[in-house]
Amino acid sequence: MNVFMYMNQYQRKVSLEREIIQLLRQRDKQGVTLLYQNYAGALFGIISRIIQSQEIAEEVLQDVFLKIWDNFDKYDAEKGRLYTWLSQLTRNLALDKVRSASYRKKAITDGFDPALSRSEQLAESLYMEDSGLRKVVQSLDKNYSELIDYAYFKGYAQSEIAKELGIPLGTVKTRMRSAIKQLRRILQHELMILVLMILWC
Amino acid sequence: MDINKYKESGILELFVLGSLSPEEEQQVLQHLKQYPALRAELEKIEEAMEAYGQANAITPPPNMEASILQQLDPVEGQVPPKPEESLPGSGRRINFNVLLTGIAVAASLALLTWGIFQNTQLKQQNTQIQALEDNIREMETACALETQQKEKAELLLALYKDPQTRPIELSGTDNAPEAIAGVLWNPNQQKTYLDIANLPAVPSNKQYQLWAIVDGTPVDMGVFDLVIGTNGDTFIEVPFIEEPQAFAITLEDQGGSQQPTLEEMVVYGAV
Repeated sequence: MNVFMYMNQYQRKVSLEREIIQLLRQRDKQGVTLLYQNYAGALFGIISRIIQSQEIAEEVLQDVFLKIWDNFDKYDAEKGRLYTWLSQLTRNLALDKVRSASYRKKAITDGFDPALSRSEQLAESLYMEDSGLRKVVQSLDKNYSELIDYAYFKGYAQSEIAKELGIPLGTVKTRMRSAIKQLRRILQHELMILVLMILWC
Repeated sequence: MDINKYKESGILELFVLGSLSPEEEQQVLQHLKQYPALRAELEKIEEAMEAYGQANAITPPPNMEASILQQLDPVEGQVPPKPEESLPGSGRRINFNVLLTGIAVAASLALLTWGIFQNTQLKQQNTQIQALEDNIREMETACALETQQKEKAELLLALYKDPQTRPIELSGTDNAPEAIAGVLWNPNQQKTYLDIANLPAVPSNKQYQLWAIVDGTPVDMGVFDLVIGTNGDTFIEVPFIEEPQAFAITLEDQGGSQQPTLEEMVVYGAV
């Protein structure tokens, strides 16, 4: 893709974003339609990696849109782009749902472990597919590689890692940041995000 | 501050992911304001995030969009800001009274129109029904007639086939030399038929009368008209009598007479 095409696409994206923001600020439902058309898939993807039940994932998507609609005045363009805010909101709602009683109930009836994120299910296959990445991770300092191993390959949350390794959560966080720092030196930007996305969930 | 080191710290990534504490976030915002290069870096990270999210998008079920939009409807009314004010873009403050009246009027008109239409239709249908009923009656009559004729034909056929039937030919007299009549006399079935095919036409004030000669005396067998059946049936049934010696037809005044006018005999045949 040459520079002009990229710029064109970029500009289109920016103006679309601006339009959606304006419409939602005015509480114009056309804004919701545009929002849905452009972002629903990405947001549903985020939800689906956290929520194991399709039914509940759909519920959460509905909740997400309702929350966006109700709280759009809270969106601060200073802090970041539209998608950043949308994805953070989505992730938080999904995680709240996971911790809810209804989700635990559903887990019993549908027969899955509510403590696991769906990405942990994926981790198994990822483990097989990303052996290249694994090698890279193993070349990191032992502390860091261990953390990433737990987070990426086993899908542990940071708090769970802290518990597992018997270290304070703060330490886990600090080390995680350093690990990422090291990784950055090794990986390209996009791949970095890939890792982060897995760690995130 | 070393911008590169700051970038490499990964703090911007964590900021985008929303993993920082409020205090940490504030610090980052401060730095972003101070250093445009950091802002540019942040944008890159955000774009990558979005690209990744879109690349891993999962399409929700097709009905979701509609349910989501529907779900937002009741919320609208609850929005705190100024119920009186209507924003140019939104224009959702509909006057319900006007709307309801409008709907009522429209509904009434529709009902009225429909009512009139139904009435016209009904009248049309009634006429049609009448016509159909008339048709049916005609057909019934025709059918009955057909049935009658069929029965007669069957009778005659049976009569012919019956060996007991005696056919008697009545030949023309001087009054009508060309005239012929036939009688089918069956003592078994007790039936007598007269074939009138070859009898000449009758003047309007006269009528034919059939006689049977029994013991030398003429017996009145009734008057008849030259009416030929619709299917060319020329046989008429006449009263049955035992042991006729002969049959004769005379031309009498309308209504017949008690004694045959022998001068007016048209045909005669001995059994």
